[in-house]
Amino acid sequence: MCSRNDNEDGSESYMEAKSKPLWSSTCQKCSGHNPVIQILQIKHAYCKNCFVTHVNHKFRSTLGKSKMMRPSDVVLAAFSGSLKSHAMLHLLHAGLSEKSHKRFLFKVQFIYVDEGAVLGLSLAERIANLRAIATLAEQYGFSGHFTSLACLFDSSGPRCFPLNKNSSLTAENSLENELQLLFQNIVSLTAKEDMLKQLRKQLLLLAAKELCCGKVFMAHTSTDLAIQILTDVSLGRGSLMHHDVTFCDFRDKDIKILRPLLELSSKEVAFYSVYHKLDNVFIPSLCTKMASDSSIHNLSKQFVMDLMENFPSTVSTVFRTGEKLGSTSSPDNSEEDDNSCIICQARLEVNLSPCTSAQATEFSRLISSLGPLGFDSKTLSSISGSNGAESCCSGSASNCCCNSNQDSPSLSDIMECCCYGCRLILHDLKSVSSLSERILEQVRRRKSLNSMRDSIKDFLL
Amino acid sequence: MPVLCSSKCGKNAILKRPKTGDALCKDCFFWAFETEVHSTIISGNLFKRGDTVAVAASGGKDSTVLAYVLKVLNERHDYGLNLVLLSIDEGITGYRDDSLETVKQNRDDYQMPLKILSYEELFGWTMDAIVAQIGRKNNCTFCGVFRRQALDKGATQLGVNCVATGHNADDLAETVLMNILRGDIARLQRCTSIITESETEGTIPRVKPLKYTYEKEIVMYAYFKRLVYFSTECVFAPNAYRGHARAFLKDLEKIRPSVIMDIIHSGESLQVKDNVKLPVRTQCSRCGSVSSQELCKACVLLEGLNRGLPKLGIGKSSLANRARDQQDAEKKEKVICDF
Repeated sequence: MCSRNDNEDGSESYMEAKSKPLWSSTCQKCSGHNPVIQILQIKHAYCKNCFVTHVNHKFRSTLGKSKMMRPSDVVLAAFSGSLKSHAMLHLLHAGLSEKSHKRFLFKVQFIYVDEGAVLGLSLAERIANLRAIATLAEQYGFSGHFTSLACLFDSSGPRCFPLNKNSSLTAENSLENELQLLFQNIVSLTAKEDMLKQLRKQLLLLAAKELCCGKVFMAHTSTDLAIQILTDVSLGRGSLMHHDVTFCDFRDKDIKILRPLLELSSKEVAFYSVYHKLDNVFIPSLCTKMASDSSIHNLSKQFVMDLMENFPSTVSTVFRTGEKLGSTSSPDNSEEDDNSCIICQARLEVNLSPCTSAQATEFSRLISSLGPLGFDSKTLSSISGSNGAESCCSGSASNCCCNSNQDSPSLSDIMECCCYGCRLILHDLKSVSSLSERILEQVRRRKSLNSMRDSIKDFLL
Repeated sequence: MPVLCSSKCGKNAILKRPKTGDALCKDCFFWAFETEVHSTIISGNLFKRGDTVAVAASGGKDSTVLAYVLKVLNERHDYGLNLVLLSIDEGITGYRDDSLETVKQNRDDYQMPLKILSYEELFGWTMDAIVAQIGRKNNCTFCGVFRRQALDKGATQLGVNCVATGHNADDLAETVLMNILRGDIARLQRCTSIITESETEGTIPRVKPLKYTYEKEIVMYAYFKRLVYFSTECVFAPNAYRGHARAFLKDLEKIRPSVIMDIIHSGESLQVKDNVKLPVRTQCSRCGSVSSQELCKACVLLEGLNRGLPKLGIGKSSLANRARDQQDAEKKEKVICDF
């Protein structure tokens, strides 16, 4: 393989950058009695009016093409206060106030997820954010709700509360502490971000169930999704990636997560917001202001942005690659509950072939700890089919999970109920006991079901 | 305080494995490295007893380590393989002629027969001559496409059952990323397979025994075993888009070393929608090798060189066809004028 990337003078030379196209002086749509305001997608110049129509049209056509929306649907729009999600609310509102035949028939509610506990904000700051969000969304007249990440740790009780300008947050200390402890126990920023994303998604699904909404709208743009593709691949989530990067995430049986902005780039959304003078509430997240090499997500973002500078088609190429991915099996054969990942609800991968990267890694771990003395060729054949959960006790014995009490499941038990990507989060987790009680409960249930199945398996037909 | 080897053999560790983070002593590392390759070979069913296997040898670190390890494992586990070295001489002065010396050294050290095929005898062009005609841009396309075919032809001439190449885990992860960036869904699907599928009869499968081995560990292995390898980089030109993917991967690896295996896992488990059109593999109508087009890439590139239109196989095929037709028309005119 050719591995030469450098010129003789030591400078790095990659593929040559495309030359920037000239700005067109007329609008492509209406041939320009209006001054052209912005160039999009390299060559497309639109005037302001044509541009806004174009964004509206794309949004509507994405929903229309999917053929998923029914008049009776109630949609829960995830609203974080960001420009993107505000633009989504604006577009939805525009669609609902259209003239009769073009009007959206479904109903819209929105929800704000308070993540302040993880981000280290004070209660006062969080309440201020909450009220700012309520003020922002007030003009649209949708019924608003809010929920807090810590609610995930609450096994009973309501999770959603009505959001208005006087809403207030009562941080329930025990739950908040549990949540904070979990994130303190995760050692890498990459795993923290991944965990936060999974928790947020879980919470949105639970909230949608509570509010009887069948669909959740998320404001991901094509730029976000291109970054997500590279991040997911790097996080080992390849097999489930199509859920994260296409229009519909149908991992949950009852509730679908849809991404109606996915045909728009973040640039288009930003200009749409500017033209409509949309405000936003900026809430810094885990990776805000961090160096680009602080997490895989940040690095992917930086990488895509850098490439976009010279290769403007990067995002659309990567995004189209993602569109071709999908599950080869029909979506609804996940009838068995115990066959899905307890953290991200994806269907667990069935072992495809005897020779995979996951097994190779596990094998490396095993033999690095056994050494030539503790190893014989029989071990080789006996592990080749398993997914290597036995490596748990071979590590240093002092903090081994198997020594902990019977009540809480061991790391290997939890690993068995997780997909490859979520196992990587667990690898960066210092103590499994800080996982939410809901997850641990599921692990226990699955474990006991498995042992029951084992004991009767000789008699099963 | 020195770190002890994590296999509890009592010796001091001398290295940390990039793949798992374990600290190992020299002997345990050799053992682990070889056992892992052995495990890959066994679980992937790469070889059959009695097979003749050509090791694609460039003289670089990957192929040198591959040849050495295959020889060691063949003797230790009695695979019953007949190993030969196969080298391709691209005709790059100051690079390939030197690295071929290394391969000849390997031939003597490991007692394996060596076959060298040159671009010149196969295609009538050396890389030096090609670069003289097309310049430094795009010449890696020629080199890569021709090498692929040269390996196939060499393997056929030697009558081997399969060709083992030195692709390592880093190469594979890089290829996965690159195919995503290029939107090449067909290659994305097959680039991680350990054996190239041989749907069409007569093609010789290529296998990658070092698929799960980190590049760093290969260097470590070669370093501690004191294996001779050639480490000068090719004198010609950059390799396009791959450079971006490579730089990205190196940065990712700094954040989380397991990322290489994670990317390969993603590549292995990717699923493509049923309704996506994929190119159908057929045979080249001119030379008979596997191709998704009427003519294989090597034949198109070669035609371009011979016609004096080296860009023929580089850009869009419609442009290539136009250039070809134009030249044909001009030739015809000339013939008419000659009368």
